[in-house]
Amino acid sequence: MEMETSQDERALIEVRDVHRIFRQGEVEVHALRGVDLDVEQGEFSVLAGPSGSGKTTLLNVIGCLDQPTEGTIDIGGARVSDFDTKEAAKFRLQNIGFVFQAYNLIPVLSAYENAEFVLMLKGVPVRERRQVVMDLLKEVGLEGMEDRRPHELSGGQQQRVAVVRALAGHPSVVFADEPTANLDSDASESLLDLMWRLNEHHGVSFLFSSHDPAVIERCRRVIRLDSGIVVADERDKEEGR
Amino acid sequence: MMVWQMAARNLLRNRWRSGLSIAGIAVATAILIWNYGFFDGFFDLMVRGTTEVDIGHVQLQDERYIDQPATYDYFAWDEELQDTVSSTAGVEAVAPRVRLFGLIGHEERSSVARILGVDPKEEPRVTVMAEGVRQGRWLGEEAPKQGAAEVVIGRGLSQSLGVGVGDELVVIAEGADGSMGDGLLEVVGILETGNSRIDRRAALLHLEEAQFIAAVEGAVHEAILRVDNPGSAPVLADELQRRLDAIDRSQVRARSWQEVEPGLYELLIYGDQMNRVIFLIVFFVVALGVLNTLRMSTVERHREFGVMRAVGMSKPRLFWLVSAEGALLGFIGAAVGGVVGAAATYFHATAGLDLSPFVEGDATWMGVSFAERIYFIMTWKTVLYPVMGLVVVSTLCAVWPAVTAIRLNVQEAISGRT
Ligand SMILES: Nc1ncnc2c1ncn2[C@@H]1O[C@H](COP(=O)(O)OP(=O)(O)OP(=O)(O)O)[C@@H](O)[C@H]1O
Ligand SMILES: [Mg+2]
Repeated sequence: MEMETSQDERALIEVRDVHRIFRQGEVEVHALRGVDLDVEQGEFSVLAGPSGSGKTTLLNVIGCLDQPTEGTIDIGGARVSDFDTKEAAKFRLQNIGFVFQAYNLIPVLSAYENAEFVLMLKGVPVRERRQVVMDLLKEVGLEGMEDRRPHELSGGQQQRVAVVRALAGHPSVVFADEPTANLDSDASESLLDLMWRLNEHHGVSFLFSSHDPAVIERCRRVIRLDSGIVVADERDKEEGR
Repeated sequence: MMVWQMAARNLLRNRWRSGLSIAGIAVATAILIWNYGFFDGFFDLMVRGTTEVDIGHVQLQDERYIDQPATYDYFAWDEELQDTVSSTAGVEAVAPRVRLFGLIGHEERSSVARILGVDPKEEPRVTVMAEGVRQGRWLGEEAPKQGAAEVVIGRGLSQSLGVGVGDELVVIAEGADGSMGDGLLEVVGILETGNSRIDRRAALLHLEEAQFIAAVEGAVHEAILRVDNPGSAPVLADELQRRLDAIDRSQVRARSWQEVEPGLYELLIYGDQMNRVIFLIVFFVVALGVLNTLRMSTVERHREFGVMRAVGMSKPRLFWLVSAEGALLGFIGAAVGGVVGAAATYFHATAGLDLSPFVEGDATWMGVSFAERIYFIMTWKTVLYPVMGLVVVSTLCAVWPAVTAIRLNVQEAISGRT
């Protein structure tokens, strides 16, 4: 499941003709209807589109949280759409970072413990963990708040801890489903700034889903979805700031 | 972050709920330990009260005597037989006895007595009869002189005859040959063993005096044995019987106390089964409580489990994390209950529990009085079984919630759809 970094001509993520049909008894919901998409290393992109257009569904299948009903997904040369749940869990642990909309953190763990959670699962030694996590917490401006529990942090601070957790394991891509949806505009703004810097600094790809104009504005690439298909792909937009 | 630490913190999230579960487990553990200690003490009292006072662990009798005790159903107590019995593995002591009914009394009053001829030296090695002497002393060891035999009588007999230590009594009984035997006796001791069969009517004579009265010189009606392991007395009795058959004495039957007092033995088995049922009921009730606690605490954490799985936690690890909460509840509850239960049991093992307030009058069962103190028995078993049992029960209760947790659809759990 290691990444094949030598394949220069291939994109980091290759999505080919992906369909996702949800069955609820008699009713079938066709959430994705043939999505084709390439995501390159180091991108800072967003899936935009109206509610119900399939953004979350697409992020989930690319993020190995769900399987496409049809089509293939390759990440770093690995055919992740064929993974069983065990392989998927291992792949997520090794290669993917996640930031969710809300309730990202484990309530009984401190900010520090939440941040190191992925590294702990990976079996990274304590000392190494400490170094990586403390550096990142400092980088996101949470120095001195390591021991706070999630309920003692603001929404924005919680999302930063989630970002640190996502990055600590050195993934090749971070998926963030509406990371700013529960934040006010100032907090959204600074979280985006932060992710932008981390993208520049660490070279990690970010793929968001959002209908927040602030997010869409800041991304270099906007992939527009509607009714489960990509309707527009705007690259190399004017970068914010 | 250790699994145990997370489990502990998760339990602390709802202190009341976890606390009540722990209290429930603790109370159950303590009650089971106490109950176990009580029953073991009670059974021990029953078994000792019966075997050590009267019937011994294994008895030898003539097979006809077993059907219908009669003075003429004696058997020869010769050296070959004595050697065969005492050389059987597990036999610790052997006391020969002569038994017959007779009339005992003086000029004014007389009463029917259970006359028991005992070997003054061997009898105390098998039964606690000699310890029951409340006034006077136990029978002297030397063979009785003609016309000056000693007798130890039960408290009941001494009261009904109005005699005490130093008084003289006459005994008349029908011998094995149909002749009337008699003897002049001096009361040397008054007996109170707690076993009413003995205390009411027994008159203990020197074996040889009783053999003389019963006209069974060199023979006895029974021999009772103390063995090293009363629980396996039936096995020993079988082996002894084989050895008796081998020396052509198969009319002498060896019977364990379990066979002699099947009622008592059945009571023990029944009690043991009762105990098991009590255990099961308590386990079941505790399980319902713990299951409820763990279900509630996991159902409200589906989103959290989803996040943990999403970022890469494996199913076995999540399973273990949830199970640890059940195990921890069990550990804490059973530890607290273990200490409390062991302390209470220890108290009643040393100080005893006075049952007389709960028992009307002088209630007895097979001659053993309940109206006395019961000394609980505390062993590793009586403490560890309940403790381990409840830890296991509580851990098992976590299995269902844990399976539910790992079966969650990750993306649905995160989106809050489950
Ligand atoms: N688990 C599911 N079961 C059934 N239908 C689902 C499921 N998940 C999504 N859908 C349906 O699929 C479609 C796409 O949903 P999705 O959540 O991907 O939209 P979205 O673009 O993320 O919307 P929003 O902006 O509101 O988050 C919707 O019609 C939704 O109802
Ligand atoms: Mg969505």
